[in-house]
Amino acid sequence: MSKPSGSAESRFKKHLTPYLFVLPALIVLLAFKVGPICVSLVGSLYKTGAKNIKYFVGLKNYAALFQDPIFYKSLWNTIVFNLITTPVEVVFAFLLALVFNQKMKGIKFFRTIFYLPVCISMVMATTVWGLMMSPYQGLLNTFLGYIGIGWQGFLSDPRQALPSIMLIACWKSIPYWMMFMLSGMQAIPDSVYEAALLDGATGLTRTLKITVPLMKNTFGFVVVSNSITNLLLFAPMYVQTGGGPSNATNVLMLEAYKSAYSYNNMGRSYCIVVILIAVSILFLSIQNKFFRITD
Amino acid sequence: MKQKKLKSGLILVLKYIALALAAFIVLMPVLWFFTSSFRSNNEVFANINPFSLEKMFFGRYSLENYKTIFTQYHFARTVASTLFICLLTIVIGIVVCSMAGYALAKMQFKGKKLMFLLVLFAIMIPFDAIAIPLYTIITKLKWVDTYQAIVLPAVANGMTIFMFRQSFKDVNDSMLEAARIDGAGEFRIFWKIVMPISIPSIISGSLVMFTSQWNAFMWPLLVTRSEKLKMLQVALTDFQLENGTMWAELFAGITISMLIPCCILIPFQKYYIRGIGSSGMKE
Repeated sequence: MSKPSGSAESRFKKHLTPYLFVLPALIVLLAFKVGPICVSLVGSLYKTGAKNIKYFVGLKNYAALFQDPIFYKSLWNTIVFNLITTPVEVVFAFLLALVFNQKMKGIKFFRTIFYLPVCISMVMATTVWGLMMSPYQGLLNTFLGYIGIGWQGFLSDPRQALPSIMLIACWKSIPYWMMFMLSGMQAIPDSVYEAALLDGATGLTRTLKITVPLMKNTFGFVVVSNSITNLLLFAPMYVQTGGGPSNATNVLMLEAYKSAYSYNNMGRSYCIVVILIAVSILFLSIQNKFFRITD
Repeated sequence: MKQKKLKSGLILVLKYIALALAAFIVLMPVLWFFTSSFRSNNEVFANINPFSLEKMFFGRYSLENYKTIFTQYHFARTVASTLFICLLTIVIGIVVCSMAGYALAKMQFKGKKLMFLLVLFAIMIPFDAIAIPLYTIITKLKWVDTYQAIVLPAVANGMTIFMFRQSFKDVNDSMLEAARIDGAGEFRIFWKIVMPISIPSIISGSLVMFTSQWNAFMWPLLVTRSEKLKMLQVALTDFQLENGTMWAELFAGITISMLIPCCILIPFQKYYIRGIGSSGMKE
């Protein structure tokens, strides 16, 4: 089995081995991560004309995009969705984790119940909630009727559609992020709390002065991952509202899909994709800068 | 003293009431579609208004919808082919990612730093953001409606490579050195010594890949056409027809689609969290 280690053949083999280990990963990463980015960067500079002939237009696609009121509407929707949903989800995920970190009888049972929304896909969660929010035959309007609040349009009302989707996203995602919060919280050793107890720190002080600072990286991870998820979330809009009513739920990612496959405007679609990728990278760089570099 | 005990007891009762209330709100939609999956479509809507918990829990239970989706809608085939795609992704994904992770953790080679940067870069690129240009690539490769179109992009997973690298870094070097002295080659060392002690990482990576494939919707919708490759979440939308949704059947389908993630995600959540969060959560 063992060859004399000095031979040229074995030295060559020794040099080659690491590359054989990384090669498959290198190929798939280049083809399916770097490749699409190049495709969208280049594609955003071209316009597809009649007979599928592409011609170079420079930054004209971007210029057209920045003059399009529908782009600004979907940009605005994306920002509003993110600025409201992300903080709400993070805060509630943290509060729930605090509750579930307590030593109470049966807490595991309750925790399991809260994990059920994690197991259902976003698309199906939206579909079920879509029927519950249906204006004429939905469960929510029945309940609202019982407590004396009148009929609501939910997803069919331009003013309520986006908040309704936020609600669905929260129902599905708060338990998900709670898992990560709880795991970060459980990593804090009991001895830290015991020491704090000796110093007289209890309740809120203990939470704010010990739990939160010690979970800095967990918070960083959850905030950034959640922001990116919400930045790109469009499946609920895709299956339930199609961006309507009157563009009230049209978000950037949905607009990118519509540009590509409904309006056949690939250049415009790639422009939006490039913008979304840039923002995602920006978010993650912030995480690496302010929290810990991933090593 | 007694008063204090009474007070803390009262607080505990209040805590449980609050918990039960919150659990009910979270659980309500699940309970509703779960119980509705045993009723007929007409009953589902008759039970919405007026609503009664009694009707919801103690109504008629029948397995009719489950029978329908399995006999008329080939749901067993859908579940089986989705499971097969998940398995394919896991096997290829674990091999590809763990090998790269091992080289990054334990080997010296030119371009190692570049490769590591590529992995970090890949972590930063969310799949959803690149799906549209990725689809362009898949059409250029003429891969539309093939297994590789669903499986290979999911294998390109920076997070899993990173997680393996982290866990392999802790593997004891002297153990590997001893094997090398015994004449074992690098591949042999990797498969016979390193992988068997890395089962937790394999579970983590598998869980992450499994859940993302099981719940995948937009990507399979884009790249698959044939019945053979129809994945679960896409198949579920088949119950939404032009002239209305077959809700009762859909609810039965959703119930089944939830069952498997529930059975593996809840008991193994620690592994899942490690698989997702290893790149940024460690304090």
